[in-house]
Amino acid sequence: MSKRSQGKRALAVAMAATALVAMSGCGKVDSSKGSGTVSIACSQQEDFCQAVTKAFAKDTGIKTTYVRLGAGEVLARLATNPGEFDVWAGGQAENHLLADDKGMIEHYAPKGAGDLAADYKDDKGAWTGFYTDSIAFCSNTAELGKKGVKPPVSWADLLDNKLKGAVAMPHPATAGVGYMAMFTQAVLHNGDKGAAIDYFKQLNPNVMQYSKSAATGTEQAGRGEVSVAIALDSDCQKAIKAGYPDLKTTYPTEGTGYEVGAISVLKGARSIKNAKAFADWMMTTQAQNLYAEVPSYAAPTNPKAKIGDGVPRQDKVKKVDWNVRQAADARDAFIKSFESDIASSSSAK
Amino acid sequence: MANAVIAAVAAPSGADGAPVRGKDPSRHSGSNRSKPRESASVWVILAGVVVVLTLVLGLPVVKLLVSAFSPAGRTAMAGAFANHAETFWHSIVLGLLVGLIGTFIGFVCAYVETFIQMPGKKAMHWLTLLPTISPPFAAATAIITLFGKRGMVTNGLFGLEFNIYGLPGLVTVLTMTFTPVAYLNIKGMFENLDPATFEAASSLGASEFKTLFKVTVPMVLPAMLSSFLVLFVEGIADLANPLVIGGDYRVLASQIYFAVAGSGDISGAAGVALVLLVPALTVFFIQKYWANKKSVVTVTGKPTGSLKPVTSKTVTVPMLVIACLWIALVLMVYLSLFVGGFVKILGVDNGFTWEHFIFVHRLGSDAIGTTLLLTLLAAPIAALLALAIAWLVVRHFPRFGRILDLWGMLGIAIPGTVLGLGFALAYSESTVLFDYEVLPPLAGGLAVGGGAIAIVMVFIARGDPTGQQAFISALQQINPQVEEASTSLGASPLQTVRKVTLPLMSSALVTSITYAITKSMTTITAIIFITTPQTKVMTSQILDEVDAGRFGNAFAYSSLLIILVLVVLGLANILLRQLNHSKRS
Repeated sequence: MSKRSQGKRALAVAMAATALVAMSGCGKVDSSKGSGTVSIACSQQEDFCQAVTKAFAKDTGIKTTYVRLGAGEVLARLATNPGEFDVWAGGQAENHLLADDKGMIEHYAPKGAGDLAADYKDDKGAWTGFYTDSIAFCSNTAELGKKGVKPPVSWADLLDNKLKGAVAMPHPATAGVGYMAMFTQAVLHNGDKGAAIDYFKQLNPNVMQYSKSAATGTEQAGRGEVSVAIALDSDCQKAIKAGYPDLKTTYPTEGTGYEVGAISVLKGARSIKNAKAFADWMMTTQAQNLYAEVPSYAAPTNPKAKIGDGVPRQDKVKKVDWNVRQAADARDAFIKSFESDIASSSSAK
Repeated sequence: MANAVIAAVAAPSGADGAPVRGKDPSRHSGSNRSKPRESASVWVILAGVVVVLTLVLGLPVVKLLVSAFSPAGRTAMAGAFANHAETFWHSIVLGLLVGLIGTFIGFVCAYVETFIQMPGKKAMHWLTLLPTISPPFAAATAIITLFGKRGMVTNGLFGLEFNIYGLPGLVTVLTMTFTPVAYLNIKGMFENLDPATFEAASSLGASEFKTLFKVTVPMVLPAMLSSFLVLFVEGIADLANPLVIGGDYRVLASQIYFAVAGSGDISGAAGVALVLLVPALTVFFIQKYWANKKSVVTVTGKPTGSLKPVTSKTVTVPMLVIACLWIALVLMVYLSLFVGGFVKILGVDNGFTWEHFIFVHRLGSDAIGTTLLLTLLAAPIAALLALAIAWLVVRHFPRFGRILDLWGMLGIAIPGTVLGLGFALAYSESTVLFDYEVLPPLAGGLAVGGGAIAIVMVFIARGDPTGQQAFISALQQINPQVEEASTSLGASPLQTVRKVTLPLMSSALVTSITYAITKSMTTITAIIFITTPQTKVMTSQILDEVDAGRFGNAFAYSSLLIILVLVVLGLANILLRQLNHSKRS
């Protein structure tokens, strides 16, 4: 029966194809199970992830692979697919603490963590910071000039009627800086979460779009699609250097929030030794100097690391008291109420 | 040309609970004749289809349902209705607009291409198809640089401050992306129309204008309806564009994304996704019901003449104006995308640079190879699956087949983010059945093949539905007697499909292969959760660049992706044409 043989042939082809993929990958898996590899969930910009993994592999001979993922995405993947990654590098300390609460983190204080300032590391070794930057207002001075508005120097300045639909704000669920802005408001209102939510309700008519990622806002401001972006100072600086000369960074005088980008060793790592080696290496001056070379405009935490040209001076910024534990605990409720009370009422404007 | 008689035989191919229409002779004879022909090969194919569907859309969907009906999922579901009723309606309005406008423009372009004589038709054909290859974010980003508040056209040329963010932008970009589906579907149907029908209309004294509405439109209604279905479903499930150009117009798809990406809330996302399935399924059933009532058999297998061009100005002028405006828009968007890869910052600093392409080369060299390999594996399987489903649904199992049809459609009806999560849930660990390990882990960095198999499976799931609908509407148009003639001459059902049916559906075949390839190469949201360090895919790297605000890199990468897809499509086209020639000769 020719029809059957044809069916079989098709099946055979499909099976052969699958087998081919399986085999081609098998080799990779075998080699990655050896002692010489480390697999990284990297919550930094692609070029930085690339630079550090390459440099680490070169220094140590350990085969280093990474996937770039947002912090929320990492949390989801650690839950669905534990053991896939050995180290989580990048993303705010709060998120690492949340992973630790779910038992996903192997406590480890990397060598060299002792040199760090106290607020750049966790006492128990759940996370260790390797970069830091702050929330700023990233303004397009030309656009603001047309509206007759000065670059904002206070959170209240963003509520100006003239800025209707002209502010970019990253979505707190996906962009760390969005949540940082919310928690900052809570701290400024002495922990009153209701007051913080109220602030963003008032800000809502001025927000053009809640963007998925933090850097989108600086891009929109640079183009003049919006006039001001709530953004990380490092991202704003990066946009200025990339070719948006109209952009200007200002900080709220009442104080602003900041992030500590952290690294943590993950439970169930296939090679805990290599994972720790990577964490140690990230604390070295040599690794942190890469920031200046990439360049990324976040400031390294290692006090001996060189601070690149144009990197915002974090010691000059007026910051609010930032309690990582509280920021982690409040996150879920804040994001839920952002979704239900603020973002969904967007069309009211 | 005496076949005009059969040409107009309406053939509703069986519908649920429609015994009244059972008296239709064509339906009766169809099912009666097919009964004894359910030979072993049909069952083998059915079994194969069920196995593939279970793998790509069965286990992952079951896992999702389990999470959706967990307490957290149920809360999210209720919440989606209670707190987000407005968001829900936003999604529906968006789907309807995209479906209606896209189908309309697709119809116009197909009409111009088939019925109106003019120079440059070949170029127009390819330009209409171009948006099929729309890397996520690229089109929306290009539209913002053209028509945004500081857009080069709206602001630069006309000095307007036009707010493209929100519904207008979304409708524009989504319509643009999915109009080619409608275009290909409808054009394929036009090509199969019997010119005698039009001759009859004109000799009975109908004007070309009247013929358009009384003959042309009704004849291709099945293709228009199936296009509407695909466009509606794609419109409400699309995520990438609302993220870029959605403004304050919130839709459920992005809400799902924020739930997962923000806090890893898998159950919540699955719950909301289930809500999103409600309108998709509703449209699916309405469309199937209508299509069955309106289906017209036009392919009878007898030799026909060629279509006579339409010359009446009342018809050609509006058609040409709409088509040309459309092509102009497509051209502008894609030109700015290509140019954007070569200048520092498009619209801000237009100095020439290679740096974006250098970056792409450094970043993407291995992702490009991987993406191509996975696509070449997935696309033929997806097209074959689409064909098999359509063939079973239309020819062999008109009732039960509807479930298969629906099952296959889930590939686009389930928002990508959620489908990807389903895969992560289902295949991160080995699949166990009665204490036997049936499948090793397929998804994630620990899996066999570095997670590549799960990605191929996602590509199949996403690549199947468009082709499936194209094949179904094409098959419904072909008179079963053509195939019966073949079988009664001693051909097996499979031989009949290969030698008779498939050549008659060459246009649907092109649609299905085209979409399987482009979907695979441009799918993003569905694979965010299953890309691994070993298996990197181009689109996820493009997304990273958009995220980082480096549009130049994203434009360069997208241009490269578009060229690659064009090359693959070109090769596939040549291959298909040769197959077709060898069959016809």
